[in-house]
Amino acid sequence: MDDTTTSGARPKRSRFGAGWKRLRRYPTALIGLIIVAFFLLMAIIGPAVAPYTYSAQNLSDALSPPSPAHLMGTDNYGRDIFSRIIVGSRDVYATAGSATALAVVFGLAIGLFSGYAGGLFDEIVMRLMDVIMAIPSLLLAMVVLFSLGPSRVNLIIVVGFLYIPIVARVVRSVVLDVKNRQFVEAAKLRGESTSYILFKEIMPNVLPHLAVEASMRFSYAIFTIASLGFLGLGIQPPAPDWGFMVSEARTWYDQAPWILLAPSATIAVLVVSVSFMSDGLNKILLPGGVSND
Amino acid sequence: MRKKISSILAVLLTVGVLLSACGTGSGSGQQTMNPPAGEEAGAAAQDQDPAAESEDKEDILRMAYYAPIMMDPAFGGNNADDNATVLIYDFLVYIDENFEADPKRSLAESWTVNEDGTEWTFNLRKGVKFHDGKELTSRDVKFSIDRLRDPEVGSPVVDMFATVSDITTPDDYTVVFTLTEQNPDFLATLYVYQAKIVDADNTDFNNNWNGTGPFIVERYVPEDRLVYKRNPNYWMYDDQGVQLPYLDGIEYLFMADQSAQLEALRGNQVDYVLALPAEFVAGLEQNPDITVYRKAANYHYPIRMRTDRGPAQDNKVRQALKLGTDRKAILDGAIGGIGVTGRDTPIGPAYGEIYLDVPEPARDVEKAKELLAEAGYPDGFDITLHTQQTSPVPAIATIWKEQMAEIGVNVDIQLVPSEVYYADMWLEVDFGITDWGPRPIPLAYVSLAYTTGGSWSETKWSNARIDELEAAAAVEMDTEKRTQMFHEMQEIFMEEGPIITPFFIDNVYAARSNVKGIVPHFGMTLDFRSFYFEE
Repeated sequence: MDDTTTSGARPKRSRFGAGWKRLRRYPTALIGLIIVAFFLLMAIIGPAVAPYTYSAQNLSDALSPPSPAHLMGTDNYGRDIFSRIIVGSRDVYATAGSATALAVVFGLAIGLFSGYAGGLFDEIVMRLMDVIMAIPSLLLAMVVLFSLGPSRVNLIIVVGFLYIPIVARVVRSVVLDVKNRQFVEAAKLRGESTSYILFKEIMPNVLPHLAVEASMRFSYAIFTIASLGFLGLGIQPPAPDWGFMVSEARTWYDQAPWILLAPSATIAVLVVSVSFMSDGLNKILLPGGVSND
Repeated sequence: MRKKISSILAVLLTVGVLLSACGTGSGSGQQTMNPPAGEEAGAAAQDQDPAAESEDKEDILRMAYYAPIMMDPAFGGNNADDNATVLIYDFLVYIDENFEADPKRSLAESWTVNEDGTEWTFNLRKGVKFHDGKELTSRDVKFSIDRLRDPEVGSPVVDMFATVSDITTPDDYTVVFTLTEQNPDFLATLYVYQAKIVDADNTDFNNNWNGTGPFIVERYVPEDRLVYKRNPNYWMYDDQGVQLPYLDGIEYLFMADQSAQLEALRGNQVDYVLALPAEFVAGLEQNPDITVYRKAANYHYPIRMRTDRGPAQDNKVRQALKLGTDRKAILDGAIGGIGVTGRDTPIGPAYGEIYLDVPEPARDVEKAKELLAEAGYPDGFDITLHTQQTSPVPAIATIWKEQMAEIGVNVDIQLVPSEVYYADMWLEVDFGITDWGPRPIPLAYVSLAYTTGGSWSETKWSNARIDELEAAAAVEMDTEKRTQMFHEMQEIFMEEGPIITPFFIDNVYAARSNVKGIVPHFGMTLDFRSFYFEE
């Protein structure tokens, strides 16, 4: 993030340097960051470094336990689970990342305008957001995916849409706090345009909150997408969808517990790591203790 | 710091919820789901303590399965409904595990059929009492079957009784069925789930379960359990003259997840589970406390192809796909080998004589490619395989996809929940995997799905000879001739039929090893009258 645009209330230089120093003070955040980075790396180079093709079946080698040849064992089709997990991270990052990006872009726009405009407009928009939030998110996602059919694009749209109101609310609350501050009043008196005030004066104050919120949404998105995958509404087989791997493993777990453990543990580790990272981000970017939740 | 810990906890907790929701069978998940089961199981275990006085000992069978939906037998359609009501009611004719009608286990103690096969006379057992003490008469039998025939009532099996033109009751213990045409499967028709004999004076079949059956409903707690007690006046005796049933009662615990049912069995929370997925067998067979029962059945998952449009209208393409399929690999990979490979017909070896026993077609990738080239697809083609997200169907699709890739056919798998697949896909899509449960009447598969314009003709297949044979077999009373007809039908299926049948899966039941008298059946539910606990 570009820290130089941050409003005058805070020291200009050294935000990044100070951030790094603070990061080292939060070892959990550091660990989270490393794990998230590791999976990101795998998402990029996974297919190249995976020991086997993720979809290659070898039925004579099915359900074999973890060994040097198969680090996490094989599933009921004799596919290498380690390779599937590694390759599967690409879809996780792509879908959860895109869904988060979608939520952030629309959430930011809605939150900014609604918060700044205030009045009846704000009231209507926020009640609309409440309506979306009132529907249980997994249920809504299931209904939409049932009717549209499961695909990557639909998955991204549905999950992104579900998180727009949450992001919008966070952004709006910051806008409400900031818009009556003196530097905004000053800009108004200077006769600056509304868009200048929104984007140059208010938005920089929103960004740290947005970054923290985005990382939180990312961790939730991973989880929601895994849940939908578990229900068979994620990416279609034989693509290595972690959630679907858990679902498929259920019938075999008593003979081959590793095929259940590997994807479940991976989902858990990544979600917790993103959460640690988000927690660290919160402390570094918002040291005043302004909470995002 | 506290905030951080709490947020970490929150995440871990969420993950934990996912994992237990995934049915890993973790101990805690199990117990929170069924706390009362644990308590009662403890109490029951105490009852079975050998130190306890044998006089007080009650043999209560605890079983776990999905909850029944329809308690009215005329409407019950799934295994859970049948499992709940088979305890309460009897059939006029009981078809045993070998597809034979067994008068000893039926309400009719004997029957005759006239020369041309259109009039069946049943002699009822005398002195059979309903649970409320009323005696069973021919009026109740007529009422029960008339209910199924009446379109106003709307039972799902109304078509099966379309050839019954009249039911008369010359006296209290005689029922005469008049048919419009011969029906060699008539006795089996009287054994469909819905044909249980009910009380003609009953007006509320969903809430009043007055049957003649071996067990009486003591307590029904929707979404939790059904508790049955032994019917002390039951009419049936075993060969030694001991009154049936042997059990003093049954507790049917509703569990919506098969992994949970299995864990309950493993943990000695229940004694018996039914209709288990075949994938569980290998793991269970290692457990000395549990006995697994298997019975060849006709449950199959055909990969079915539309023959009126798309690439599979050409029989060469259908032949190519059949040749490219390795059925044994699918049987082993998808269900751990718990069944037999299919021959691309809907009729499996469970039916005995009428099954045409020929060697499994050998896989021939080269020949398959040649056929595809002849059909105008030298480079193969792409298909979308629609199917349901219910084990083992995704596994069949996944393995088949790899096999098809080798002959140049690219299969794109589209999984949807079963409800969606059966709501608007299965009768429509070009390629799909449908599941067909076991049926007492093998001809039903052909009539429903493979005759021209059959009501469930998902492949839109139209074959004049199949239509002829189906119509002829429906009325052929001569077993020999009828078997010939079935064999010819299966030959046609193999040569040009619209389905690939990778395997027929066995019915699987499991019980604690001290439960005896379990006789596996081609239907999913069993006859509980013979169940008992070993001392």
